Amino acid sequence: MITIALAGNPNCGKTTLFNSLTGATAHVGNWPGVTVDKREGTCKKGSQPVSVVDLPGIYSLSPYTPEEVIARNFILDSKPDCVIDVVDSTNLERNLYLTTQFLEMDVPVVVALNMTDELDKRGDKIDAKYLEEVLEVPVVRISAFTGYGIKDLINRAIAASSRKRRGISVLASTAVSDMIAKVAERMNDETESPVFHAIKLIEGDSVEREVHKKSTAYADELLADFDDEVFGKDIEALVANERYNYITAHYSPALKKKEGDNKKLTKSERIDRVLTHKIWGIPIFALIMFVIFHLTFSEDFLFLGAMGAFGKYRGDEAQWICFEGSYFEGLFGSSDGINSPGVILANLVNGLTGMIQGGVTDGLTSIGTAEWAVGLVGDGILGGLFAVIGFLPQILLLFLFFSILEDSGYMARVAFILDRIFRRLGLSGRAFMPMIMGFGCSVPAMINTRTLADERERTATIRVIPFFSCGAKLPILTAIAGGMIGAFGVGDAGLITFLMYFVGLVVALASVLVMRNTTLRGTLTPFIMELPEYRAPGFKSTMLLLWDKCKHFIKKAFTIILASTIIIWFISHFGWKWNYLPDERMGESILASLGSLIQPLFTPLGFGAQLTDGLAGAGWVFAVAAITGLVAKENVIATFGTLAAAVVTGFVADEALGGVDAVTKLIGVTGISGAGCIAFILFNMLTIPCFAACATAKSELPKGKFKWTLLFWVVTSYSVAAMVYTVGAFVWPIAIWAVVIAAAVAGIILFNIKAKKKAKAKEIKA
Amino acid sequence: MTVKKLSEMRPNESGTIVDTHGSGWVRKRLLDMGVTKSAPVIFRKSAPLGDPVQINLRGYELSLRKSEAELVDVEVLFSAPTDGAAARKRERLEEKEAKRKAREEAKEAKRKAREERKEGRK
Repeated sequence: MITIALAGNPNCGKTTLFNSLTGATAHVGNWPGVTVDKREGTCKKGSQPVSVVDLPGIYSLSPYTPEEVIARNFILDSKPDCVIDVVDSTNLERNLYLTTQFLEMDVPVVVALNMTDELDKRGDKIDAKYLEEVLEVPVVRISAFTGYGIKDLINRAIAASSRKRRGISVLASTAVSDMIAKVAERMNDETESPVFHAIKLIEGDSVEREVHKKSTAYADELLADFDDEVFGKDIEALVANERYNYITAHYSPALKKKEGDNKKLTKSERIDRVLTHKIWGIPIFALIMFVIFHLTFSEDFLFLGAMGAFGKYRGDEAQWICFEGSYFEGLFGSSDGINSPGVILANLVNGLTGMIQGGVTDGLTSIGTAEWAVGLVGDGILGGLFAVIGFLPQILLLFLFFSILEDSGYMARVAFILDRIFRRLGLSGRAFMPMIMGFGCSVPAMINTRTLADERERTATIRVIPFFSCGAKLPILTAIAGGMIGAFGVGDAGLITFLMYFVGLVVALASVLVMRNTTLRGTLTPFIMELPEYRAPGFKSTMLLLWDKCKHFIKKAFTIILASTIIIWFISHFGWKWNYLPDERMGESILASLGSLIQPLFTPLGFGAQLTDGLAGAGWVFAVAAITGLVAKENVIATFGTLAAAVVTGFVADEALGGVDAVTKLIGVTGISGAGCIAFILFNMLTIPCFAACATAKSELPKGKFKWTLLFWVVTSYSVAAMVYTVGAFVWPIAIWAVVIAAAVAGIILFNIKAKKKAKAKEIKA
Repeated sequence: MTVKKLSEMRPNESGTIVDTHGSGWVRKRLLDMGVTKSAPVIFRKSAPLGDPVQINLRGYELSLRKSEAELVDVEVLFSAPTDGAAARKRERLEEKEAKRKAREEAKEAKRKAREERKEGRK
């Protein structure tokens, strides 16, 4: 089977083309740089099946970014039978710059003029025949979006792949053409694509110069005698300049703009006037974010409830939306307000899964299955799986909104608006999107970091995403804050919740700042970014993306998460003698004894050894809840519910209170202090996130970084919680913490000054 | 004809690029994106917080930080149309810029003086 590589600028419609060629579901976004790695698929649309490789989008074949190196190495080393160079015909000049570099390689090239539908809409005309003559390779008009010309493209690529092609250069009649010819002749026996390599050597490409040392020496000899009257010895600028000059002189005439269209503002310019407006730009962005989260997570849609829209229907009379007593209780809302679409979908899924779980449990019980087997299947396997799948609707909805923003081109503007703020932390404006998504769910947020160009920047962002407290952590906040009010009679639950969110944010930003100055140090990458034209997102590509996410998530739920829930269920329902324990006797389980074993570790956090003196000797519940939270954060409160039943005699949980009563009781019997409660919340918020998030982090982080990330989460959560507890409980440790923090900050600053000096000294030496 | 840095251009001003400075990746990236000699360029706007800036060149929109725009020299061909309000605004901006420069120079002078003192002690 022949191999065809798809290459082109970022955001030229390459991935859309790949999807429509292969039917695969690579991620498409109207954001420069969505495809980070190359991906493969099979295309059966042409005269014979071909293997298609989608290369990352690049602007040039320079050696500076990983994407550029991946693309270049693939074409030179893996030798595809043909390269389809995808060109955005609405942005011809800059796209053809890359084409001029492909033409220099000894590989068959077919140019695909994409986005012709967009061009037709504007009334512009492109002459493919003319381009074919001047480029000397096949040129095909296509639209990946509508599917126009795709069959023709693939057939011409198949035809072209059987003909050998020698590299030609647009630099043939310039000041450097002599040098190129001489070096290329030398390299002819040494390597394929001698013209390409020769130009790279003359340009001073560091990667190439390492590989071809002999020819480099020869090129340097020639360079020593070279002096251009305009550019001097600055070959890099000369080459770029000549390429663009050639394009404007010979290729650009192929595009005929509609007459009299020059003065009118384009659609994108008009939209930008509003969306990146000096004053309104930021408020509009904040509003868009708010609407997205409101649609996904709000339980008081449009604030109808708060505004009193239900009037006399409040309270018991709001039955029509409550479905009380069924699995779908509160599907459309409660007496406080109507649910947002996201919450309705989540309730629907939870109702369905609850029904299945209930049905299976009842069915197994009725045919006389052993109690432990019923528990394993019902609570262990189905319960664990469904708890994770319950998130799917809201995650997908959040994904849908963000992918619409991305496809439309607005995401690039967000980076443009916010870059100024994030630069201070050592990040670029693009880091904002994943972070704010973290308030919804860490999983899509971590995947979204792919739009960050720099690997270190990406690692830092992924690490702090869990600190943006996600939807599943909210119940921990509300239940414990509520419990504290019940038990101590002081405080304001709303205020505590808000403060915790705020602490998470501060810790996130502080740790980014620290990481970018210590372990993940690196120069700020330049922010030279294309602002793509606004486009209406395609329905098909958006749905393909959602389906892809869905598959990904469910696969994870059925592997790693399933395994972990089964293990947790076993150790929480069996004692050391392999005797089955019902929920009420969880206190005798393996988990409980492990809990009391590790409990002392949490002493500095206020929920460790000091709690063993509690009334019922149940101090280990907090330690155990924190551990079960590692699977999924909603386990924390669920565990409190079951454990309260186990350790407090005569306790019956009231589901409607969302665990507040269980927490109140547990605070009472264990004697945990208020500071300990706050520390417990913070520990759970900042520590290792749920299994789903960990699995995502592992696949998104660069190799070898995941174990350090786990350590980072543990250390950060432990020290922040310890700091809050010790200061809150005894006050005087504030002095110690202040000294420790001051010393750390001073150390980092001094170290950086030293490193800077060293670098400078090196520079001077060189 | 005046030559100034791309970062100093005003909204709707247009011109042609004269030179691209800098080194390494930043420079190569600028060149690859079409920021080359004699390319026409229109300065669109600054971001709401003043940085980065947006320019139009070779038929597309490019955003870059001021620190990167400083590396590009542009020969201004067509100044932005001025009306009363715009002119006043420009004056205010220029005043602000001058003050900022003066502050920076003062800072620099102080730093130099400090360094000289240090040298003297040695």
